Amino acid sequence: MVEVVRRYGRLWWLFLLNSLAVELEYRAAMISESVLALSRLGWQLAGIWVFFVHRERIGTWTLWEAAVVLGLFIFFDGLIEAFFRPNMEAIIEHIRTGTLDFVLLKPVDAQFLATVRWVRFRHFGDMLAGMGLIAYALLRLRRTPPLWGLVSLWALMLAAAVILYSILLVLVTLAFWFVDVTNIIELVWSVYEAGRVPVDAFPDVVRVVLTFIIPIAFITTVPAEALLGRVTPTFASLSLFMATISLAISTGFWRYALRHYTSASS
Amino acid sequence: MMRLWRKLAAILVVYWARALEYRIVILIWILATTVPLVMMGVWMQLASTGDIGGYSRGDFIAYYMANLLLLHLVSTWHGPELSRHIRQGELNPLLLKPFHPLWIYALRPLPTKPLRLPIFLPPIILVAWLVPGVHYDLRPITWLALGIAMAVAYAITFLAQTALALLAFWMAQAEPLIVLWFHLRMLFSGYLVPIALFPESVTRLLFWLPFRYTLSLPLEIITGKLPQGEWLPALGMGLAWVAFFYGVTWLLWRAGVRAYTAVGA
Repeated sequence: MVEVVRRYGRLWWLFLLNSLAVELEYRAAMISESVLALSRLGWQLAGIWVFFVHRERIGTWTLWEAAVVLGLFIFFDGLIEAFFRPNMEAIIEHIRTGTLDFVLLKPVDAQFLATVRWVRFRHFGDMLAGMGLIAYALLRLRRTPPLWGLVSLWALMLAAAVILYSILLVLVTLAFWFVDVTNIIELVWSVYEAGRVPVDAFPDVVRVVLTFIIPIAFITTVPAEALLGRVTPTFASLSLFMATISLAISTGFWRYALRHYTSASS
Repeated sequence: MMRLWRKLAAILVVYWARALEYRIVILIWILATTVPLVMMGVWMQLASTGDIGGYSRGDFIAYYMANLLLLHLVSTWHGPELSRHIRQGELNPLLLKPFHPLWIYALRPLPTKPLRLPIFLPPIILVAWLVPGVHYDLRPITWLALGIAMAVAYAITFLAQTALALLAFWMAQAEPLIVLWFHLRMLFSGYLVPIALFPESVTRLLFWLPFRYTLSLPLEIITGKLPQGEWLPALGMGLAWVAFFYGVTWLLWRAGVRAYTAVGA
C-alpha cells in the first residue's frame, strides 16, 4: 500500500514538473492571466457589493462575510481552471480521437493518469486572488478564525475539491456517449455559479436543492462558515459524507463507461 | 450592391447549416450561463421585504428572465478568435474572399440566434403568465424601440471587440484586453445587476459610457423601466458609440492590413 502511494506520489510530482516546463513556454500568458485574475476579482466583488448598497445582509451574511464566500468561489474557480479543466478537456479529446487507448494501456490506474496529468499554472493567480480576498475580508471583520475552524477548513476544502472533481468527472464521462459534445464540461458552471453567494441568500427551495441534490453549498458556504467560526460539527461531517458519496458515484460511473468503451478507431 | 447582399446571404446560409450541426454544443453554452438566475434568486429574496430602488420582486423576475434571452441575442464572442486568426495567419484565406473579411465575423453568430428562442421563450412566457407582478411592455412602439436598441447593442459588442482584436496586428497579447472588456461589460451592462441599482453617480456616469447600450438599454425598454421620453436620448447615445467604434475599427483595419505580415504565407 505504502509502495503504491509512493509510486503515485512520484508520478504526480513528475506530472507537475512536466506541466511547469510546458507552462514556462507561455510566460506572457502567465502574466496576463494574473492581471485578469485581479479584474475578475473586481467585477465579481462589485457585483455582490451592490446587494449591500440596498440591504444590510443577504440571508444572514454581511458584506465582508459574503466576501469570504466569494473568495472561496474565486479560489475554486481557479482550482478548476488550473487542475481539472486541462485534464477533463484532454480526456474528451482522447475519447473523440481514439487516443484514450494509449492512456488505458499504461500500467497505471487510468482514472489517475487521465485526471491529474496536467496543471495549468497560469490560473494560480485566481487561487491567490481568492485567498487574498478571504484574508482581507477577515481583516475587515476583525475576526480571527477559531482553531477548530482552521482545522476543519482544510478538511472542508478538500471535501469541496473532491465534490467539484466528481461533478466534472461525471460530465466528462458523459462524453463516452456524447462524443461530439466537446464543451460538455462547461455545464459545471450552470451549477457552480450558484456558489458565488451564501446558499441562505436564496429562496428556501433553491437552498435545499443546492445542499442535498447538487452539493454546491459544501463548496463555498460551509468552508466560509468554518472560517467565521459558525460551522456545526453536523454540517462539517455531512460535507465529508457528501464528498465520499460524490467520489464513489462518479468513480463508479467512470468505470462503468470504461467497461463499455469500444474506442474510436478500432 | 445587390451582389453584396447575395454574398452576405450565402454566409448566413452556410453558418445556419453549421448552427444546426452544432446545436447541442450551442445548447450547452446556453445552459452554462446561469449568472442572471443566481442574481435573480438573491434579489427575489431581498425584495420579499419591500421594493429595492424601484424594483419589486416581480420586476426582478421580469428583468432577469429577459436578460437570459437578450444577452444571447445581442452578444458575440468572436473577439478572441479573430485575434488568434490574425496572430496565426488564419486570416490569410479570408482576405481573398470577394467581400470584406469582417463580414464573416459579423454575420456568423446571427444564424445561431433563432436557436435560442425555443429554449428561452417558453419559460419567459410561462413565468410572465403564472407569476404575479411580472410585466413586460408589449406595445408596438416598444417592439420598434427594442429592435433598434438590440441592433445597437449587437453593433457595439461586435465593433468594440473587433477593434480590440485588431490590435493583434501589432501585439501578441490582444486577447487579455478583450477579456478585460468582457469583465467591464458584465459588470456595467446590466447583465449582473440592473444599472439603476448602482449608486446614483455610477448610474449617471453609465449614461455616457458604451456598456449600458450593449444590453441594459433593450432590457430597460422591454421591462418598461425606462420612461418613453428617455428612449431617444439613450438610443442617440448608443448610436454615437456605434459610430465611434465603427470609426476606430475602420482605421485599425486599414492600418493593420498594411502592417500584417501574413504568418504562414
